[in-house]
Amino acid sequence: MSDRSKKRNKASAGTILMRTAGILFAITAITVWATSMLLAKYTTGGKGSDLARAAQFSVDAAGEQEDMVIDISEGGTGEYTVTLTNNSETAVSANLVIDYSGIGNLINKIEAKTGTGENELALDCTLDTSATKATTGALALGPKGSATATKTVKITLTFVAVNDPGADMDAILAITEPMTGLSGETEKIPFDVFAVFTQID
Amino acid sequence: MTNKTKNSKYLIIASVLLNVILVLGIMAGPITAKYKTEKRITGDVKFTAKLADRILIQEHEAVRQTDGSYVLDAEKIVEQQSYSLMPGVDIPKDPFITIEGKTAIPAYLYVEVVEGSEFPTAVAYKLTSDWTLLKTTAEGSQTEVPVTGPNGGKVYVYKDILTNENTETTDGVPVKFQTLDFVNGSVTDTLEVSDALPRGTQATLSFYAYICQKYTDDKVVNFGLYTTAELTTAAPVESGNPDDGASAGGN
Repeated sequence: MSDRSKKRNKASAGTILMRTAGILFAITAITVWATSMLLAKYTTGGKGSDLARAAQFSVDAAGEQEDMVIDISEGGTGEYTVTLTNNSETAVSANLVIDYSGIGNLINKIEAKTGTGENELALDCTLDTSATKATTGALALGPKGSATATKTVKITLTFVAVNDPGADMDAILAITEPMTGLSGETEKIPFDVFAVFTQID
Repeated sequence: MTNKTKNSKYLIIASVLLNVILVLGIMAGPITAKYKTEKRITGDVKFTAKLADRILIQEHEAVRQTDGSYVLDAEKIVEQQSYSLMPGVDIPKDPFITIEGKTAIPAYLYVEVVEGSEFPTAVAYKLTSDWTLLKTTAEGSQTEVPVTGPNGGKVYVYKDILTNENTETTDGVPVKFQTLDFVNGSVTDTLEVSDALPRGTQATLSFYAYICQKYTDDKVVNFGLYTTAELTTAAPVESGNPDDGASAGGN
């Protein structure tokens, strides 16, 4: 074979490979287009079929507490109860995020427990770096109608006392100011609890 | 194999991988999508704090002797008393402040000294070095002037911030914060009465004690904002001249 023929064959081999790649990409693109149309029909449709429907997802959280009044000279604890309810068709997991940034650095410790008696379970509470938020470990809730569809979590907040080692005196003074006379009382200071629910397959 | 052929092969491999990733991504998308939502609920907490159960300012009773001088009775504490002054005879007087039931909330201790109208210059007193006169700069002026207390007197602040450590002894007994010092000598707790005491002079000298929570930024007390703790002692000073055998107010 002459040099000229060899060169021509090599060039045509390269052309074939390029064409093959192009055809493969075109096939994939067409497949994607077709598939997406199908999915779109599935999610937005409903005409003519009641079999293809999204699973129901409905959850709720409610909080309850006694009056929490803490004498800052002695410290103390307060309890906040969260009731989590799953009305979904699937199980869900829930994490609680306790945001106490409005209280300053006056919380020593946060504990969360669910269940009672022998079934009591302590949930891990992880503080964020600013030490103003704590996130509990995940809690599984069964689907609607199941025995585990509703659970309560008792959150115990332990407040610092003035004499505790490492007590943040500026935070304490900021809370108690302006005290008049021999004693003082603050307004109610809010804190938030966020219940984050995620569907479990 | 030429470079061109190699490049073409790499191109095909890359194209196939891209397609595979694309297809897998599309397939995995609907599988991994999950419902997620967040519910917010709110709690609240209220804080209380106490500076003290009680703040007192008292002194020991000064008992008049037959020669007209006075001696303090260490056993008897009073919150008000009168004297009959004689020129050149000093009066022992020991107003002290005690704070009962102190908590650990840091606080300032103040004493306000109020001289009654026409207070004689012949009667002198001085606070101990533990007390510093509070001053302020008047608006629109560079000059510092004494802070005026709620009763119109000069206000002095104690040298230390109060805590449990310095308001009680280790036995739990309230510490006495002495206020008066002697003007010229080493004897404390005295009103100095000079020879120039005019006849028939009447005057009063009153002490008021305050305890106020420390500010976070170490500002001095603002009586407009803070309520004073307690007023306990008024000590009228009456003058008489033994030369004419009568006292102005009697005792």
